This record gives sequence, C-alpha cells and structure tokens, in this order.
Amino acid sequence: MKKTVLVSGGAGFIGSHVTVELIEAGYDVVVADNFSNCDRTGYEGVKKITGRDDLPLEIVDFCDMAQVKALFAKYPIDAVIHFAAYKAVGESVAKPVMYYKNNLMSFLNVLEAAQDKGGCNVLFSSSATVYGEPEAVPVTEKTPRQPATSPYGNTKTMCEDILRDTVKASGGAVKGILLRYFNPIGAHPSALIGELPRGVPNNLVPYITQTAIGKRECLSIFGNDYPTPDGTCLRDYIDIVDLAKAHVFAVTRMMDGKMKENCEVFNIGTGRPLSVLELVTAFEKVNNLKLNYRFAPRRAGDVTAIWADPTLANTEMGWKATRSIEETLKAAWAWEKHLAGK
Amino acid sequence: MVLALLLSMTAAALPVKAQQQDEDSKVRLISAQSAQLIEKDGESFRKVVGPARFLHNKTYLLCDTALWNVSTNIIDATGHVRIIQDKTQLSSETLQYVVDDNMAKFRGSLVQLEDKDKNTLRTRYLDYNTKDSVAIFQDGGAMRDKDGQVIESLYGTYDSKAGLFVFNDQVNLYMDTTFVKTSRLEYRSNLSTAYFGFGTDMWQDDKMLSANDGWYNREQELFMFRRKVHLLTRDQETWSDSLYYYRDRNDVDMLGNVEIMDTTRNVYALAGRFEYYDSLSQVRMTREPAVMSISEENGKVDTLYLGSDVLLYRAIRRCDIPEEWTKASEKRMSDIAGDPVMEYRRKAAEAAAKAAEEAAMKDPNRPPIKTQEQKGKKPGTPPEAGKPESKPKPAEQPKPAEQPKPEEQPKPVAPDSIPAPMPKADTIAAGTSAPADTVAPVPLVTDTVGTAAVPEDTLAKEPPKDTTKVAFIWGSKHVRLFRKDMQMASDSLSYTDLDSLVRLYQEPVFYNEGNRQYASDSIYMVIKNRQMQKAHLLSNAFITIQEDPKSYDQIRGTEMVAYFDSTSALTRFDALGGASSIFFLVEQDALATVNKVDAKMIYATFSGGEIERMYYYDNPKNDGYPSVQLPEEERTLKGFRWDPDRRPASPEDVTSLKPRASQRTSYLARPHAEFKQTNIYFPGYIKKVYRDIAIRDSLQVVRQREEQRRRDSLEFARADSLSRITADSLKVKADSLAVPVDSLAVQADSLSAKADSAGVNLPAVADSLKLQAKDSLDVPKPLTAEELKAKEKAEKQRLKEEKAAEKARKKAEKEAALKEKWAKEDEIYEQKKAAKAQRKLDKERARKLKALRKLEKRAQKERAKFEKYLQKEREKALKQHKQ
Repeated sequence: MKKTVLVSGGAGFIGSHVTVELIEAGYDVVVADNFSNCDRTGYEGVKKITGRDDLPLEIVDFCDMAQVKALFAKYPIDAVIHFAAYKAVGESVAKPVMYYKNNLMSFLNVLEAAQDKGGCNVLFSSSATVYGEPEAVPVTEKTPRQPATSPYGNTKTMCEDILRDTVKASGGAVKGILLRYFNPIGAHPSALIGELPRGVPNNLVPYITQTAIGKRECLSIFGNDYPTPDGTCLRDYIDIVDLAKAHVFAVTRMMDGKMKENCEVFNIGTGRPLSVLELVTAFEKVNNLKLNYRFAPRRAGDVTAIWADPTLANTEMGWKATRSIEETLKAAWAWEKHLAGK
Repeated sequence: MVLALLLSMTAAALPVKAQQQDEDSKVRLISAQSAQLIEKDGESFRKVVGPARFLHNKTYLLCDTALWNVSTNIIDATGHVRIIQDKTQLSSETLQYVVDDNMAKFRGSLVQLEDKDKNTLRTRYLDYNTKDSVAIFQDGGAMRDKDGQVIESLYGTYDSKAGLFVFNDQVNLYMDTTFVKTSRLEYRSNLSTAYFGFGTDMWQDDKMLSANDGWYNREQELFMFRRKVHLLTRDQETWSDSLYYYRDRNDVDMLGNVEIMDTTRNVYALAGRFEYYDSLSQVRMTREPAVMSISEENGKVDTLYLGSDVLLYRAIRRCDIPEEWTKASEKRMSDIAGDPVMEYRRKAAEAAAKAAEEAAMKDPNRPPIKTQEQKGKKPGTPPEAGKPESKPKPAEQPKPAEQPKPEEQPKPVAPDSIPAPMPKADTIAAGTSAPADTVAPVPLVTDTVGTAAVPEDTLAKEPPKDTTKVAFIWGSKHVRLFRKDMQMASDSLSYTDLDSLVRLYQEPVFYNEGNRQYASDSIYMVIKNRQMQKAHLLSNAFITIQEDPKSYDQIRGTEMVAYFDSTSALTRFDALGGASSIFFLVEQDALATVNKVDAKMIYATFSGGEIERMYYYDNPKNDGYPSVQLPEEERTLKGFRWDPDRRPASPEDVTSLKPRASQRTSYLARPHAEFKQTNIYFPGYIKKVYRDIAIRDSLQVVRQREEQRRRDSLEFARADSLSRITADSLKVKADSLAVPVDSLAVQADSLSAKADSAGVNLPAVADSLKLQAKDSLDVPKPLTAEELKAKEKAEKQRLKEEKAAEKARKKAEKEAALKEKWAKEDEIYEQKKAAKAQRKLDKERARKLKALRKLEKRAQKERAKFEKYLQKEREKALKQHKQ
C-alpha cells in the first residue's frame, strides 16, 4: 500500500520540488499551502511534471489548529514534511512577532495533530543558519549551533528543539528528522518549477538570473576582501533536485524504520565550497553570457565561509548530491527564461 | 549655551611659570562651554566644562571636563579625553596632564593610541610625552595595524616621531598567518620592519622556527633570523647560524653550520650554506656541503657520506622535464642495458651449434632424426620458428649460476601514467578493409571514430599532466663519497630518478674491498635499493688490485662493467675491447708467477674476494713469467693507475661538519603564542584569525580532493573513450565481416530454393547470420545516468576480467615457457642419451670389427701357416714319392 506524505508549504520553491520527487518515488502526496508566500505556479508545475492532475491540494493555514486537525482527519498521513514558514531574514528582523507567531505556531500545530493522531513521522526543514559562523569548516552535524542573528534563524533553532522535545516526550510515537540545508539553488530540469521570489530576491541565484535577463540592472557582490582565495564568501550551493531527493531518502528511512535514533539530524550539502564570484563566473560560462556585477562593501552578518560535511547523509541515508554546478546553473537560467516567456 | 573662550583670554589666565617659557610650552585653553576658578584646600583650580579644547606643545587636549590645578600645573581631564598631535591621536576616559613634564597620563578601561599609519595601540595604562611624542604603556597592551597585524606585550614604548614601537616581555605577534612569540620586539613603522629579540619562536602552519635574534621586513616580505636558528617541520629538523626567508617567493637561504635532518628518509644534509628556491624546487648547497644517508639492513646500520664543493638538488615535475633530458636518459639506459659478454657467448654458442649440426649432417653414421611423435614430446611445445631444434652447450659455457640474473639488468623506466598512444587510423583501417569483391565499401575508420559516441570533453582535453616529481642531483668539484664498504672520488657527479644512474665525470675513481680501485674517464653506477649493483667504466677503464706494496693485479680495457653484491663486493667484471690483464699468482705463500694476457674480452667471476673463473675471448695471448724475473717496467700495464691518496678514508674526508642530536621534543614542548592582551583589547580577533586559517586549510583540502577527483574522472573518461574507440574499431571489423556474411546470406538465399529440395535449411542459417550482422551494426543510443552507471560498473567488471585474463595469460605463458624449457632440456637429454648410445654402439661395433679383423688376420695367418704346412707336407710327400 502506498504511503501518504503531507507536504506543508508544498507549493513553494523547495516544497514543489520535493513533491515531484516523492511522487516519482511512488508516494501519495498531499500538498497543503495557503499561498501566502507563493502563487499556484509551483503546484501547477508539479502536476505537469508528474502528470498527476489529481494531485490533492489543500489550502490550509497551518496556524489554524482546526484546519490542521481536519487535514489530518481527512488523509491517512504517514509522514509530514514541514516547509510552511516565512523565510525572509530581513523581514524577520523588522517583524519578529509575525515570524515567531507564524513559524512556531504552524509547526506546533503540526506536531500536536501528529500526537493526537497517535504518532507520525515528521521531517523538519531546518537550515545551516543554525551553525552561525562556525569555528571550523566543514560543519558536521555535531558542530555546535550558534546563537541566531535573526528571528528567522531563531525560529529554525527553536523548531529543532521543539521537535526534539516532542519526539522525546512521545516515547517514539513521533519520529523526527531535521534536514539542515545549505544553499539550495537551481530549478527543475523541466523549467516548469523553480524559485519565484517576490520583489527583490534575497538569494543570490535569482538575483543573478534576474540581472542576466534584464530585470535587475546590476548584481552586487557583498565583499571581495574576505580571507578566501578570491576574496568573496564561500558557500555550499546544493542543487534543488538533489535537495528534494534527500527528503525522499529521509522519508523512506523513517517509513522503513531504519532510524538509529528517534530524532536525527542530517546536513544536506555538497561538501564542495564555491565562492560567490566562482558561482557568478560559472553562471556566465555555462550560459554563455556576460553578467553586470560590481563589488559592494561587506554585508553585516555574512559569514566568511561555510560548507557542509555531508558524510552522515551520504553514509547513513545513502543520499549524495550528484548534479554538477553547471547543470544547476543551466536549469536556473532555463527557469528564468521560462518565466520571461522566452 | 556655548561659550568660546579665545586664545588671548587663556593666555592671560595661565600660571606664572608659563610666562617664562616660550610660546609653545604654554597651555592654552582654546574652547570650552564654561571655565571658572575655584579654591579648594588652599589651592586654586580652574574648572573647565566642555567640550573643552587645550593646546600645548602643538598638541590638542580634548575632554568633556577638566580640573586644572593652577598651583601644580596639572590638568585632570575626564570624559571622551583625546590628545591629538599631528596625525597621532590618543583617547581614554581619564587623563592627568602634568604640564611641566609635558606628560599625559592616560588611565582607564581602554586607552587607545592611533598613529598616522593607522596603527592602533590599546592598553589601560599609558603615559605620553607631548614634547618628545613618546608613549610608554604598562600592564599589557596590544597593537593592531591596518593590515590586521597584531603585536602585544606587557610593556612597551612608542616614539611617534621615529615611528618606533618597542614591545617588551611576553611579546606575541601575528602577521600573515604567522605567529611569533619573543621577549622583545621593535617595530619601525617607517621601515615596515620588526626586530625580534632573544628567545623568538615563530609558527606557520606546521612549521616552527626558533632563533635568538632576527627581523622581518614587511615590504620586502623578508625574514632574517640568526643565533641558534632552528626550524622544525613535520618531517625535518634544521639548524643554522642564520636564515633568510623570502616569504613572497618561499625561498630560504641558510648560512653557517647548516644541517637538515630528514627523519622520514634518514638523510642529513650538512653545509656552510644552503639555498632553497621554491619556484624551481631546487636546493643548492655550498661551503663543504655533504649529505649523509643512513640505511639499515638486517639490523646493521650503515652510513653513506657524499660531499663536493657544490651540491645541487632539483625536483622537477615529470611533465616539465625537457624532452631531450628524457631522451638522453633513455639512451643511457639502452647503452648499458645489454651484456656484451653474454651476447658474444650466445653468438659463439649459436655458431658452434650450427657447426655441430652441419658436421652431424655430414656424418654418415649419424642416427636418424626423430619426429616429434617419436620423441614423445610434450604437447604445447612446438619448436620455435627459424631456430634450430637443439643448441648444444659449448664446452666452455660457465655454470648458469655465474651468469648475471636477468633482473639485474636495468630496465628502461617508462614514464608514469602516460596514457597509451591512440591507435593510428591507418592501423585500424588495415584491419578493417574488406575484400574488394564483397560488395559495399567499408566506411573509413576516421569516420567511424569521428561518429563514435565519445564524450567531447574527454578526448578534446589535454591528458592530465604527470606531476610526479623526479629528482635530479648534481655534485660539482671534488666529489667524495664514503661508506664503509665503498669509497669514491671524482670531479663531478650527476644523478636522476629517470634512470637511477649515478654518473661520475672527470677522473672518477672508486674503491672497495680494501685494495681495489676502479677508474676510467667516466663511470655510470646502477643503484638499486641504495646499493650499487653495477658500474660501467666508460673509456680507459682500469681496475687495480693491490696484492702487496709493489705488486698489483691489473685489468685494462676500453670499457669495463663491474658487478657487485649487497656488500659492494666485486662478483664479476667484463673488460671489453683491447683487454689486458696482469695477475700475480701465489705459490707457497708468495707471488711467484705473473700471468699476462691480452684478449679482445676478459670475463671473470669472483667469490670471497678471489677470482673464481676467468675467460678470455678472441685469440688470447697468454704469457707466464716468474715474478722475480719480470722487469719493473713490465709489472704494470699501460695507463697504470693507483691513487690511494684520492680515497676518502673516513667521513671526515668528506665533511668536517657533524650532525646534531634531535631537539624536536624540547622545541615542541615550548608554549605557543598566547594572545592574552589581544583577546582583551581586540576581543574575538585572534579567534577570527584562527577561524580564517582553518577555512583556508579546509578549503585547501577540499580543493586538492576535487582536483584529484577531476584527474581521476578525466583518466577514467579517457580510458573509457579509448576503450570505446577500440570497441568501435572492432565494430568496424565486425561490419567488414558482416559484409561477407551478407554476401554469404545472399548466396545462401539464392541457394535456398535449390537446397529446399534437398531438405537443407540454409535460409535459417543465413537469417541467423544476418541477425548477427545486424546486431553488430546497431548504433548505440545515448545513455541515461543509470545506464551510464551500469556501463561504468560493467566497464569496471570488464577491466577486472581483463586483468584476470591478462594474469591468467601471463601465467599460461610462464607455464608454456617452462614447459618449453623442460622440453628443450628433455630433448637435449634425449640427444645426449642417443649420442651416448650411438657412441657406445659405434665403439662396440669397432671393437667387434677389430676383434673380427684380428680373428680374420689370425685365421689368415693360420691359413697361411696351414697352407705352408700343407705345401711342406706336399713337397715332403712328393720327395718321398720320388725317392
């Protein structure tokens, strides 16, 4: 019998890609989203890619407990992947209450519903932001977390703790996996789903593609005087499809009862650091175009370098990032062109 | 309300003492919000509320409030206190300014001095002389410059005019990934030079350098250390009197009593000067340079000393080695690869065998030649084409044990990891050309290769460069070598890993076994496992063996090859071309006879230091003389050489420098630089420095791993594409075969009707042939990732199987060779046996013949005797009858 996975925030950037991979791996998926932070492009794209016109979509506000309980009552949910959250760092600094309320409440409701159901597998989308500026790189799952520098980052840290405590209190009925993403970039190779930022992009690659297509005049690279080979920050850019596949491996691990602990943590990254300038150059090279960029002063809060040690995910889950940066950047550019109707 | 008190007003208000001083020494209150005179405990104070600004010695004093003791002429300033002199600025929370002493005494939780070069000194206790522009700090302080360099100490001074910082006691410095700990440090900002004091330790990555004096010029990026310089790396320990380190080039120049101890290779380098050029990976050692190499075998330690006026070592990446060097090396290898004596003997043996065979053929009594079946020869041992069936050994053939083993011969060194050459188009084409009469022309191979599914980025790219480092060593002038069992001297020496040959030039000579000297114009030594296996004495070769102070065994030849065992003892020599020898033979414990021989070649084997066997080739001229009768001038060969004075008798003859005992443990135990003051005054900075270094190191590891992975994948891709090309060429061959198959099919089809009647199912056979041909023509589709993975797996499996097959093939070949050898031996044995039997038979036959002849002779004799008797009897009877 097919297992059912609820994807909260399933119409978003990561959620839509994960939905595709889950369906292709043979899971029944229920997409739940309130479209507060995205439109239906992602959902419709998933349907086209998978050919599943009957893909269940529930418009749910996860901060509303009644709606969440109804959702759990409606479907035989075996696992939940929780993406539904606000994600803009800058906005979180300006509106901390909104962020804490939304990001914590929605997750608390999911956990409560899971408990009420008598147990469930919960996968939480955490972030490498919990590591702050680490003492040493690459970071392993054992690298100590640093105090968050933004309410958004803090909600990730808090949700990790909440899930741990809930799993512990449930006596094994609720099982949890925390996936700490590094820098997800790219788009689905079909160019039917991808990152769809609202307004000025916060992330590098959408900014690059928008500059390349002419939506933005110039890309600013913040800081070229970091103690790195080319002076720009080093990051671990992970292809969105690889990242989505990691969720399938994690869900399967939970479903198959292969977890060694009731709550596990995995870094989801490539283990290969790439500087911002290298990424920009690679984008220009693979897509055969010239990007208008300039160097700007360092941005407060940017860490010099961080990249993952994905050994645990590689060995324990059996997952490994396989897509090259060239493939990723080609897909990102194809997605941008798709959006522009080119 | 803001009150501006002007200069003129303050001048009038100043104490009396100021009036006697020149204008510059007067303190002037330039501006303040308010100023009032107050009396306290009988003393007059001027209370200034600010922001207030004073001027003294061309120095501004700024503060929120100031209490000016008019009697003592001391200003106590508080709140945002600043002293500004030219471009130097000091700040603190409080300040006591002793006007008469020109002394600003800063106290507070943070006192900061920033000079014109943006050097920032932070402390809690600082006195600044506004006249001399000199600052003194106590109780700890730390300075950071605009580039992030940090210096800290317990005490220090700063001379603004001279741009001189002096740091004393518990001095720690960080600059450009280097940490220094010392007792005293002077930093001259105008010279960008830091001078280190006694007990300086410096750390960079895994290296530690210690000295008692030194300096660092930041602009030139040059370090100089002297007095007991000690450098420690993971594998090496180095000492010298002084050391220059060119940081930008990573070059090092060490002077005076230099020693480098390499613990991994057990090698010591000693010299008066040692220069290392990083860009060239080159070491140049001068001033009595020597290298000591310690080896241990079977628990026995032996040390080799090598010295010359100049020793040069260079490691070059194989891909950067000039082609002519490689070719020269290959030529040297081929020049020394052969064994002229063995070759000569082989040819002689072949000629003898041929002659014997011809003689045997002519022999009327030869036994009939047996066939293979008759011989009962083992299967799989066919006779070699073009070679005689049997090769009887010549009588003078030495025992097999005396022959140099094949593995002793140096083999040409194949460059590592150089991919096999691609098959030439015409070679492939040769194998693919179909018979002209078989219909369709076969596509050109170049086309086939061109359309093969080879990834563009594999063959198009340059093959990965072979970055393996190859060592080159040169010794120039007065080369000496000493080891217990061997000594050597020459003008110059050259060695390279390319051929593992030590080449000695200009009057080279070496000695072993106490009394043996080997000399020629140049010598090539073959070294294996740190042992000399063979020496080629090229041109005017001369071996001298001292038998007694006046008698020398001598061997001379145009060229000579000497072979040695693991104890460097001579086991064999070959004198080639115009060889001559003189040997003194012992009789009754005296050198009684002299044996002189001239021959084309001399070949001798030695055992236990004595000649075991000796062979002379090509009409040897051999003369023996009683030793006492031989004139003095004939006791030596032409070109006789005996140079005992050139022989290094001890390590001291190579170098007077002595290796030191390791100090690794004591240096490692020294405490690392701790930045206590920096952590107070620039919190988090050192932590960030360590983090940046960790990032750099981690990144380096990742990049190296990626580079290795890239190289591996490129290698794999190349191998894969080559295998595809091979597969394609096979496919083309299959295609060309398919053409005749098709033509056969056509023929088969045309015949099928006829054959049907005869009940033969030829079309089915033809169809199956067609199917096979069609299969071989299938164009491969683009592979998916999974298929590619499966293909890679299959490829690996194939390679594994090929390897196994290759192993099996070699094993089979070995067995076949062994069997062949056995068969030959059997054959020779059989032949010998047959010959022996034949000889026996012949002998028996001869004996019988002889016996028969003897019998016949006797019978004839007896018959004659009987005839004679009969005649006599007849005559007697006739006589009687007559009577």
